[in-house]
Amino acid sequence: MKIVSYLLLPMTVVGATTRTIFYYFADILGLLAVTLNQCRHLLIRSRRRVFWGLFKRQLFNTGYKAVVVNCVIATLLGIGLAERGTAYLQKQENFADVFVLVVIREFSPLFSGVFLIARSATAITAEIGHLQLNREFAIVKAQGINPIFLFILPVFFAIPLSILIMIVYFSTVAIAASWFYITLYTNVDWSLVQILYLIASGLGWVDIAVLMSKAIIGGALIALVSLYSGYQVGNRFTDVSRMISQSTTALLLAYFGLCVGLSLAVF
Amino acid sequence: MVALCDVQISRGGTLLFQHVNWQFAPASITAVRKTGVLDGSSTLLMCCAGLVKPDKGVVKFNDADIQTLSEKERYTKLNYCYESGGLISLFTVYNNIATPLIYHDICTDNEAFARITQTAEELEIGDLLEYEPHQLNDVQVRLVNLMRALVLDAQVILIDELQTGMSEKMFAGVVEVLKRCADRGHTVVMVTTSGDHDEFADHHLVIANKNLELRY
Repeated sequence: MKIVSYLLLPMTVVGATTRTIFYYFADILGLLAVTLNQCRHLLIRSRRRVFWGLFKRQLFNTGYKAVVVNCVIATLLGIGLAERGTAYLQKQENFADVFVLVVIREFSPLFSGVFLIARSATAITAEIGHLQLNREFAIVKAQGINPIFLFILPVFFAIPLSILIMIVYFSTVAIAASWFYITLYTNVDWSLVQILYLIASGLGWVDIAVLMSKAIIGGALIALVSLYSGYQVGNRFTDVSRMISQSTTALLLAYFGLCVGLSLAVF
Repeated sequence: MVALCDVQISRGGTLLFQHVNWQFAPASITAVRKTGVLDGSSTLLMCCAGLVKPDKGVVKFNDADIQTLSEKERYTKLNYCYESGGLISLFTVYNNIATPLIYHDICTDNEAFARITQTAEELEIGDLLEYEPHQLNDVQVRLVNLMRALVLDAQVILIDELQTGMSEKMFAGVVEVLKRCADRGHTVVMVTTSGDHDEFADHHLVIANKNLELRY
């Protein structure tokens, strides 16, 4: 009997893991459904005003406050690319192609998403976790307000928009840093207008569609997973840190998978 | 008027109340004296506010089952004042009070500001409006919860253990505010504990034998 149970152990583990993953995704889809259902309240002016205040707060915390770290990394990346690019690529057409391929297509959404997961998704899980720990969802419900509308809907919309904003300024700062470095520290005579023109020419509608998809799908995924993880906090104080750790791991895997998967599928 | 009709309430498998039949009259203050730590007084008030569903029986507000009222109606007409907590950590005290007013379209921003500042002055907690909930002590939390009910002008105000920790002068001021509410036709029900002053109340009840009984 013991041998049989040992032989069945891998199957039991695989089965339990599959079931856990299935329920996890089902829960996330459920949260998406109830969140979208709350959008109907946005048709009411007074509720839209409450939403707008919370949405702006979230956008400020996630999109705006990440400017410094985003710009520093983009600057370093731009300098590195300019240094290597001028040494190996010779022509500005090639440099622009590499810039579009590396920075705009791949690194800007990837880095922006990772910054957002590190800075904001963890904070959102902590916030929602503490609200759940203090039973504040019930307090909001007692006031005749759906907690999903108040706590979740603003985050759900603010995160994808934040990633989109971060992608724009990551790419812009990387271009600017590259050009400044090329102008100040190399003997190459490339004009900013020409580089911008070549980069713009290298960007097609497919690139923009993939970037938007990464921002919107990835952003929605980050929002839902971090919110769901916060909501899973039970009665113990340590549940908050446990859920932050779990959601960060899940989000990094999911977001890298999404970015790489979309690029492989489309390009 | 709030009426409990053959109400039975239990929590976590423990029977707290059974066969409760009582009417809380309008334009009056009723004091319900606690008799134990887990006597279910808070649950009873929550049940009267429609936040807890009774196992059996019906809680009526003006002859209508409160469970059939819309969330907005229930919240604006019957307000439960928490003994602890009751505030959202994300908001300041002001926004805790103003958000439901705006969400339910009860008044404009300016009217909300006027109502909140006026009520805060009445309760002498005007300085607390920009505080975060975690900065408040337990007395201040209870006063802010009471302020929310007063700002809403709820017809039924259900107050959970208000007096503990308050100075005589502060409590006298709050009682004056509650008396004015009762004079305007509101129903005030408050849970009191041993040693609390409740002689100003019009009706005095006590929780005994899983029911409400007249204390005197």
